[in-house]
Parts: sequence; C-alpha cells; structure tokens
Amino acid sequence: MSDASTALPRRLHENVLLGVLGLVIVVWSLLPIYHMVVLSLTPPREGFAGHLWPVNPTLANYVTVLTQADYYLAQFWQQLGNSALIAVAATAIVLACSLMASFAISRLRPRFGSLVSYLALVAYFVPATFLAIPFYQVMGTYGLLGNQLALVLCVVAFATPYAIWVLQQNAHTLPDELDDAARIDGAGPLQMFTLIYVPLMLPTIVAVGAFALMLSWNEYLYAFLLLSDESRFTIPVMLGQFMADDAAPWPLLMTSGVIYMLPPTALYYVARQFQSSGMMSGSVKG
Amino acid sequence: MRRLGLILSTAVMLVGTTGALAADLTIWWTKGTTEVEDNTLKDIVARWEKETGKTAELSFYATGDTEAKVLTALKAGSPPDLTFDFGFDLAYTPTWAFEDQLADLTSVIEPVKAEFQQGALDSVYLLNGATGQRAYYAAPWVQMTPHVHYWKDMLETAGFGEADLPKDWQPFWDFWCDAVAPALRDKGERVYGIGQGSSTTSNDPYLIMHIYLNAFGAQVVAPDGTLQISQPETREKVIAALNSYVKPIKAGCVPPDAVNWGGADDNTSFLNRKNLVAMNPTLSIPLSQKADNPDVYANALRTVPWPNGADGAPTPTIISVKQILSFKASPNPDNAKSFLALLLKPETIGPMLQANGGRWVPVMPKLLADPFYSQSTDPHVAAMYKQFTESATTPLPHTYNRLYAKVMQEQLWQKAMGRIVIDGWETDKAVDELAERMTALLAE
Amino acid sequence: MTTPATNNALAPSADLRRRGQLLSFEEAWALFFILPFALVFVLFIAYPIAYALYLGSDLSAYPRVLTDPIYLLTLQNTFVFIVFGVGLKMLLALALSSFFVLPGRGVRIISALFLLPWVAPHIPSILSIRWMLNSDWGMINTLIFKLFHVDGPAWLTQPSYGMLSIITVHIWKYLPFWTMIIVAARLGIPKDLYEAAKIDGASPSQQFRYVTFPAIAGVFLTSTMLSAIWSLGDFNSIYLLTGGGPMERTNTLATMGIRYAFRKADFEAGIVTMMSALPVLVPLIIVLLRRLREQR
Repeated sequence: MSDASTALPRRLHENVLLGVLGLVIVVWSLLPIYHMVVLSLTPPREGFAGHLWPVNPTLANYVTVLTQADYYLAQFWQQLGNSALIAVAATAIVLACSLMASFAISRLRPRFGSLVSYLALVAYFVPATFLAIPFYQVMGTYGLLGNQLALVLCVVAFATPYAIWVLQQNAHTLPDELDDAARIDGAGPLQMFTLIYVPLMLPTIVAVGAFALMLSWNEYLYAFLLLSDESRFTIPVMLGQFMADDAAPWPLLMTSGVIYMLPPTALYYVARQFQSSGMMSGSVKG
Repeated sequence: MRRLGLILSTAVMLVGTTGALAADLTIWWTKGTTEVEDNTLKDIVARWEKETGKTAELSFYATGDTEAKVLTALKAGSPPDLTFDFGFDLAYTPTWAFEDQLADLTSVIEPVKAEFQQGALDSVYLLNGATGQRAYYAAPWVQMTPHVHYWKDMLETAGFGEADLPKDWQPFWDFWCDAVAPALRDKGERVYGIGQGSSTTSNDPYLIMHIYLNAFGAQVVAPDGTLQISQPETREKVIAALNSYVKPIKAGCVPPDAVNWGGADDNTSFLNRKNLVAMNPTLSIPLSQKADNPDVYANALRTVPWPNGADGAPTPTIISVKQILSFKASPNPDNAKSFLALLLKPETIGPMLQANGGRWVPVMPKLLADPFYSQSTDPHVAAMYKQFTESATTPLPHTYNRLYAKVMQEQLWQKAMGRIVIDGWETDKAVDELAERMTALLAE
Repeated sequence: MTTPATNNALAPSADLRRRGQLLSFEEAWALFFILPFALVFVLFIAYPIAYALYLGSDLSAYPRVLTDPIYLLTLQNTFVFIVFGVGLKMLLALALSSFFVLPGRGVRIISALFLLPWVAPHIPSILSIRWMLNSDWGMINTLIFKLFHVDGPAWLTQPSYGMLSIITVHIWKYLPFWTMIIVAARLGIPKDLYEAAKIDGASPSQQFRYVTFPAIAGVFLTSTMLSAIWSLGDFNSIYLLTGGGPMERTNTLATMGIRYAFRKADFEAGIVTMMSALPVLVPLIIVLLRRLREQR
C-alpha cells in the first residue's frame, strides 16, 4: 500500500492485485444498479424469473413509463415535475438563506455570528428522521399538511445548516483585503455581497446547490408523510406505493427508478468536473 | 440580491399555487386491485361534483397507507371527510365510535335502512361512550369473506386432479404440502405449497386465523362478550387451530418471506405461481387476471369452499362488512353525508359493484339477488355467491365485545404465530402469552 | 486559517463596535442577512425540537414503550446496526482510501463508478436490492437454486439475516461518501512527509502507520462520530428493505419511532422511542461541536 506521493512504477503482481480489487469494487458498487437495469429491460410478466441477465430484453418498459401507459404510472410526468419543482424551489431558498447567513457570519463578523454558526452546526448534526414526528405536527399547525411547500421547507430546514457550514468554511479562505478595499471604495454590505461574495463563492455554491438538489430529489420519508394526493406526489412516494400494491409491475418500478436516477447522476458528474471532490470535502474538515 | 429575492419569491409562489386548494369534500380511499375499480368510484365522485356544483378531492392510497394516514391526520385534528380502508371495521370503528370520534351518519342510513341486510346494519350501529347511546357511526358499503384459491393447471402438472383433493381440514392442507408441491419440485420447479401469511403488517392473517378457529370450533369470545380463551376446552381448540395454521410454515411449505408479507404480497407471490394455494378475503386475485388473461381466469385459477372443519362438518366462514367513515372533526360533514347519500342508493352502488367484476359482495339483499351474482356463470363469482349464501357464518369476536378490536390493532394473533415460527416457542406457551395480553386488553 | 481576533482588528466594524453602540452599522446589516436563516431555524428546527421535548414529557408514554417486548430488541438491533454498520463501514473506508489515493486513470474511473451507490436515489436502488434478495423469486436465491437445487436463506425475513442485509445495504449506500472524505484528507497530507519517511527507509505499511494515519486520525474520528449520529437516523436502509419485519424483529429506534407515530398514531411513544438515543446522541454532538469548532 503506497500513497499518492509514491508514483513509482508498480510491479506486475501489484497491478494484477489492484486490478482484482478494482473489479471487486466495481461489481459491489454496480450490482444493485445492474439488477435495476436488468429488471427494467425485462418484460413485466417475467419480473419474477430472477434472471442474471435479461433473457428477452425489451425497451417496452421505457415506452410504457414515458407514455404513462400503465395505471401505476398514470401521473409519471406530473410527479417527475413535482420532484423537479420541489428540488429547484428548495435549492433556491437554501442558497438564498445560506449565502446570506454565511456572508454575515464570515464577512461582517457580528458579535452574534458565532452563536448563529454554532446553531447551524447543531442543526446540521441532528438526524432528520428524529425530527419527523414533531415536524409533521408542526406542519399541521402551520396548515401545510398535504402541501408541497411543506416538503420544500423540510429540505430547506435540513440542507441550509449544511450549506452554511460549508460556505462559511470556504468564505474564510477569501482574503479580507477584498472587503477592506470595497469598503474604502464606499461599497456597503449589499454591494459586497452581490459584487464580491456571491461571484467568488460560485464553485462552493455549485457544490452546495447540488447537495440540496440531491437531498430533495432523494427524500422519501418526509415526502411520504407530508404529501397526500397522487397528483402532488414526488416520484419516490409514487415508487414507494409499489411496495404495497397487488400485482405491482416491478419491472416498471425499476424502469422509473433508472429514469429517476439519471438526473442526479448527470448532475453529480458535472458538479464533479466543476469542483473535484468539493461536494464532500466541506462536510468534514479536520 | 434583488435577483435572489426574485428567484425566491417565484419559487415559493410556484409551489404555493400547486399546493392544497381546499376542496369541498376530501376522500381518502384504498386503491382497488384494478384500474376499473378506482374509476368506478371516480365516476361517482364526478357525478356528485356535477350534481352539487362543489369540488371533491379523491386520493387513493395503498392498503394500510390509508389507515396510517387517517390515524395520524385524526391525531393532528385534520381527518378527511370520508375514508375507507380494510382495517377500520376490524380494528378501529368500535373504539372510535365509543370515543365519540366518528360522525353520526344516522341521517344518511335511516332513509335507506330497509335496503340493507340486518347484519350489515348491526355492524355499524355502535355505542358511543360519551352519549351512552347507539347510532349509525359508519356506512356499510360492501362485505367480504375469505376464499381459497389454487392453481388447477399446476395441480394437474404435478400429476393430480381436482378429485384427488381431500375434503377435510388437515388432509386438505397436507395434500398440497406433502404431495403436490414435492411432485412439482421433483420436476425442477421451485414452488411452495401454501401462501400462509403470518405478518403483522397485513390484515389477512387475522381474518384467515378466525376461519381456522372456526374449523376447530374455538369460540374465543362468547356472545355475551366474555373472553373464553383461558377456559381449558377453548384453549385446547385454540392451540389446535394455531398448530394447524403454523404447520405448513414450520414444514417449509410456505414461502419463507410470508412471515413479512404486506397486504398485497400474498397476491403477488401466488399470481406469479410461487405457491399453489392462496387464501384471500376478496376475489382480487382472480379478478386481476380477468382482463389480460381470460384463459387463466376461466380455467387455470380456482376458487373453492373451505375444507370441512375438524368435526367433519362444513367450516363456518366469517364475514367482514366494510365501512366508510366520517369523523366528528371532518371539515365538511354535510358534503360527506350528501356524497354518501348518493353512493348508497342501490342504483348507484349496484352498477358500481358489478363494474368491479364482483370483487365485493353487496350488503343490500336486492342487489345480491341480481342475476349478476345469483345466476353467475363466472366460476369465481359463482363460488363466492355460494359461500355467502350457503355457508354458515360466525360474527367476528368484536361484534360481541368492542374491545376485541384492540386484538386486531395489536395484531396479537400474528404475534403468537411469530412466537412459534420465528422464536421457536411451543404453541401452548405462545397461547399463554396471547391469552394474557388479550385478557388485559378486554379488561379495560 | 486566520483567527477571529486578528480579523477583527483589521475590520473597521470592530472600531465602531468598541464605541459602545448597541449594534454597529455592519451588525445591523448582518442581522438582516441572517434573518432568513433565523426564521427557518426558529420555525422549522427549534420549534419542532421543542415540540418533540414537549411530547416526550408525557410520562404515560414511557410504560407503553418500555413494556413493549419489541423495545429491548430494537435497542439491541440499534446497537448492532451502529457498531457493525458504522464500524465496518469506516474501517472499509479507511482501507479503500489506500486504493483511491493511487494515481492513474483506472483508479479515477473506478472511483467514479464507486460513487454511484451514493448518488443513486434511495428508493429505486434499495428496492432493487430488496427484489434481488427476495428469498422466493430474487436473483440470488434463484441462482442458488439453479446451481445447488436448494432454497437459499431468507435474506430479509429471517431476523439475523435481515439485520445482516440491512447492514450490508447501509454500507453499500454510504461507504463511497466516507471513503472519499478520507481520500480527500489523505491527499491533503504534505508530500515531503512521505519523502522523509522513505529516506528513513520506511516500508509502505510503516508509512501508513507513522505518517498517514496520524495525519488523518482527526478526520477519521470526526467522520466516525458523525456517521454514528447519522446512522442512528438511517430510516431508508431498514424501512425499504425489511420494513422492520418480520414481526418487528429488525427495527432500529428510528424505524420503530416512526412506526409508533405513523402506523399507530402514538406520537408520544414514537418520540420516547427516539429519545432513547439521546444518551448517545447528545454527548456525540457535544464532542463533535467542540472538535469542529476548535479546528476553525
């Protein structure tokens, strides 16, 4: 085992060993996703055959899903739209709140700044599941049960603390001289925020935004609890219904799953190009 | 900054407008087995909207999800106006009526009272603990009784005919486990015998267990409401019934995942020919095949009466009357009643149930007398009609003692099965635990 | 990183502040900027937490939970899940980080694929595993039957196999994230440390022991604690795989709490169940707060 620093030519048997390890890693990582794809290519009637590869591969399931030709998927596009709308709305609010708060804490440095960042950190640590019960009831108090806004606010509540934490860490690396120069030029906090802070934080904004989008896109528990009409469901809730339904066509469930997986996968690889490993590095700095 | 604000407010507005616009009537309903079933209800809702000029919001959920949604919404003070799920009559209605949580539907039931079977009316004429009075606290709309299904074609592939099937209780089940399934396995088919569910997440095992109790003559609650389970004679019968229930599970004749089957997994497993026999409270299994596989529906699948009980006499079946509920805290009680009045007209619900293909049995004698049921040439509907009209029935124990609903709520029977098949307990020890908890629940 | 003290000395706002105003000009602005988050925090985090504590103060809920025979088993499952799920995951992450820090195109491609489980939405991917592991018709047992003509184990419905499957799925899902955290930390170790070690004749394993591990021990510990906290809240790996079954035998505190609240409408019991994790959760959060604040 050598580290990045030791870029010496590796010996053959080491390469073979690493090749085997690499193969194991790839099989381990991809098997469930491969299985999902296999089922998506399997005719609905053969979903129970347990084949290792699609015996009669067909794209019919994709046609069925995309044309909403099955009863279970009658609102697929509407629900995909809900997922997207909620994710975008939540991300916009997360970015607005976290950019403003992190700017205040790290650039304006008020006396109460450390208290705010402390609270954000605590909120970041609390496992979201543990707040599901009171969150549901509180949403009832606000009259938002069944409303998609409730899910948006839930994502906002859980993604903003993380976003603040990451933004704040990266904000500290911006030189103070920038702000001082701006102040001398007569810029107020508003100009400092829009003209200096936001543009310079763009790479982190991409990372944090991608995080919020994915959190929202993935959310199942809260979506199930908070939404209450098929036309307002997000895709995860719709897919969850398959678990409890008679004669549910699982190949179609897996097909929708493959389709639902594409946007976050694409987003992730794009964001990765934008800022390598930045999506995670902020979350645990040591 | 301004741009951010703009994005923010647009986003909020976009989401806000698609959010809940309060309808005049909210209905939460358990999804049917087929698209047709849901559409028949949608049609009536649309008709109500047209006739009244009001708006209704009808949401469908999977079995069990409706119950969970209603339970939490009730607690949060925001129940729907009307709702139906399979578990209500078994586990909740008597308790909720007693706790004064349900809307009094007497004004809806009274005018059409003459149309209903007496048993259906009795099942919803419930005591309210707050007023000390009985009233109609639910609307009976259909009824069901568990059926036995098997794959006739697989039986034949195994080298047997329907004439080979034993008529008596234990021999009937043993035949599938000891003869049919092994014969198919010898041919290389990976198939199990009986789809005997025992999960706490499904209501079916509860209903079917009560048929097993009937087969062994075990009356857990006497008609005067007293609990009998601890009396030696009854206890022996309960042990025998439970032993019969878990026998195929312990013998590996049941798909291993049946201990964790949800309300629909038994259908899924059976329909995909992973097991030979299924027991199900409605005709949902055959009906799911009717449209796409008429040949399977007509020839391969069979619906048969229960085998004779331990004493050799026909096993009495149980009937569960399904109910539509409205709550005291429901926001639009008048609209709920106006919709129910429309739905419960024989000329509305009759065609609706026929369009469903006969999954449900009507609770109105006039409708049941319709040739659609009484002279059906459909093998499954005919078998169902026969079971309803010819079999003796026993009421479920909660009819005699409303507190027994908590036994269902806590899924005590399934927990006892779990003790035996998962923890390896002896049956009498599991029954002791069951009896102790049951006594505590009914002592309140 | 610069310390707050020196920053303040440079900032003009600090001068204003010392003049004893209640809020300086920039602090007033800071208040404005913090307002949206403050609102979110109060309405959707602080209020729910307070509400949870209020529900948890209902003493009548405690006997309901404590006398439930499933409760002790749930505690035990949670312990097993955290110790093995988090422990194995973090050790594997540490081991695999040695692979992913290697240079080369092949490693980069594999690392991109390795991250897919983390990127894939929970619902379809975990349901895919659920289908694959179905003892009746899943791919795995079908294969076992074809090869050996015997029925494979009940992966999801025999309680101990169920826990094993749950832990495996948890690791599958979250291993990539933590591996990459450790990889990032390892890539940040100054190269001259390795050069010096090599000059001293250190073997690769000695390099790992004396250079790599000390340098990343802090991140590793922080990550393990953070992962333990979040794993306590892992609902999907359990709910989507076994639903807590059979007969509630594979629940953890998170799924049991949700089950109480949303299947039985017993919110108080749900909160009480989850609050059983507080004796572990609160110290972990306090230690983590200290660690992360110190490092800034």
